[in-house]
Amino acid sequence: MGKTILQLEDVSYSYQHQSVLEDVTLSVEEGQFLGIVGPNGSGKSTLLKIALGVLEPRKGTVTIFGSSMRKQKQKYNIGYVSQKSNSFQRDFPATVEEVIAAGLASKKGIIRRYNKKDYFLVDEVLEQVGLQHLRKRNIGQLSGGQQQRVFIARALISKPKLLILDEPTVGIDRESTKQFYDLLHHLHKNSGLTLIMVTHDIGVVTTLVDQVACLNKKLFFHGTRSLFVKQEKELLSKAYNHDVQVISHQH
Amino acid sequence: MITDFLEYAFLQHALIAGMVVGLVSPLVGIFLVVRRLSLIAEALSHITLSGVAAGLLLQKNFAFFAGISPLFAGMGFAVIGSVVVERIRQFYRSFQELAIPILLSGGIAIGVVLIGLGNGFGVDISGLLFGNILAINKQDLVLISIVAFLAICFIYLFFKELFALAFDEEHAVLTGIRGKWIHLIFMVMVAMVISVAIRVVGILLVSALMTLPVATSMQLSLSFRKTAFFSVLFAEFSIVAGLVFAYWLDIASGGAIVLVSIALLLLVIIGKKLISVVQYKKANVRGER
Repeated sequence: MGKTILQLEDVSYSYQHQSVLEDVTLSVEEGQFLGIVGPNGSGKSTLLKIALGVLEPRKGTVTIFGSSMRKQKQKYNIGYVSQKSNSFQRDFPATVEEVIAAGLASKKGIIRRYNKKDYFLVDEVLEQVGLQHLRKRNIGQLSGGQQQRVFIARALISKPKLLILDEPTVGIDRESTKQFYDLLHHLHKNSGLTLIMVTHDIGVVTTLVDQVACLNKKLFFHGTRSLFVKQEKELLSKAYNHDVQVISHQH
Repeated sequence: MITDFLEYAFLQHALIAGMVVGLVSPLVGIFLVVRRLSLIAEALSHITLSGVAAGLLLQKNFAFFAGISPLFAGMGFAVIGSVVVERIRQFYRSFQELAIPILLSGGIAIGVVLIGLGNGFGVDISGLLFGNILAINKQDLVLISIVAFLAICFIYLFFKELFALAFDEEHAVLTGIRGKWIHLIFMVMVAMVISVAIRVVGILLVSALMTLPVATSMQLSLSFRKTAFFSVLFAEFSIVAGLVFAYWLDIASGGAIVLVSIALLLLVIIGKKLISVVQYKKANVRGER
């Protein structure tokens, strides 16, 4: 460990007059798997957008891979997987292979076309996510879980150092969700990839990740999983205080 | 009849212009269709009408413009229109389709007023509305070819960016693709292609040439590249067959071309249904055994 991948210092953000993040200080080290939990509207997605460089914080600094966000031209160093439901049209005429190759579009730079080497990379990431047999299949014919693995492959093909996932299992059945988490676990253990995942699934946070951040405008907790599990009840009731919904979960 | 096509220059011009437009229209059209922007072609074609009318008015009143094809003015209006569409879309983030009726009716309104001011110009307005491929001259042919060449170059060079943006704009932009610029250039290309395709099928039918072959090809659920390839094939077939029918039966060429492409779409849909029925029956027979 050691090298800091992402560093947020005193980061605040507001939409018009509504503040969504207040003085968040958070760092992610190389090879860590950070899970971010918090109620709806707690600023989790905003935090991800700031980490991705889409939004600029109103206050505070963001350092990624050792330099400021603005200097980061190579956005393909970050892989991104969003919720399945809002990413594409179901009848879109494209094969799995074409979708995955699109993950290389930015890295290759304009005018350059895909070559044999790129399609070899497609093979490689398809193998990583276990979907080699579906390479020529149309993306719309796949199940939700399979599609989400295709999007992981699309994020991995540019060989990112950091993978950011925004509630990736929303709308996916339980069995596929389990397989999906197994894949993330495998990637984390075997490739040394740094991962940040926003999730509603507290169960996953207490088993899969190694660092937890609990967010509701302010950062209520940031530390190791075991520390989180110890103070879990207290933390969650504090963070979810203003939320009407009572969150229940089982181990 | 084949000898007619070999003998008469106007028929050859028509055929070449048709084939060029048939190549480029579905190639830009496919990106419009998959981004659910196919109606934008419709709006831009109506804007082109007001541009052409403005060109005709200039031609009538100023000697300087006499030798310049009004298509240039049409093209200019369409290009401006393509930028305006984007601006209006940003005003209505969740009702983006509103940009289309605004431009469509605006284009027609300006066109009608200008045509009225020119007392109808004494030109072939129906040719403008429905296309008159048989009236294409050498100057038109050159213009059509230049526009097609530019558009095809752009699509060839930016194919991977255009695909990435069309499939998942959010992801493409997050990974660093300059979506805004590429989209803007693309819309300008669309406007230019529309303004030349109007010579072939006319303002009211031009969006058909961009969307119908793609719609047919999408029914085949192929890869994106193959979908593009087959939509060009369907467009070329529609244009050649439509042209032949038009000449042979003495009917309007634009209408004939669009009717052939609708026939193709129906054939593919019916063919697909038949195949699935046959497969279902086969599976049932196997099941009974």
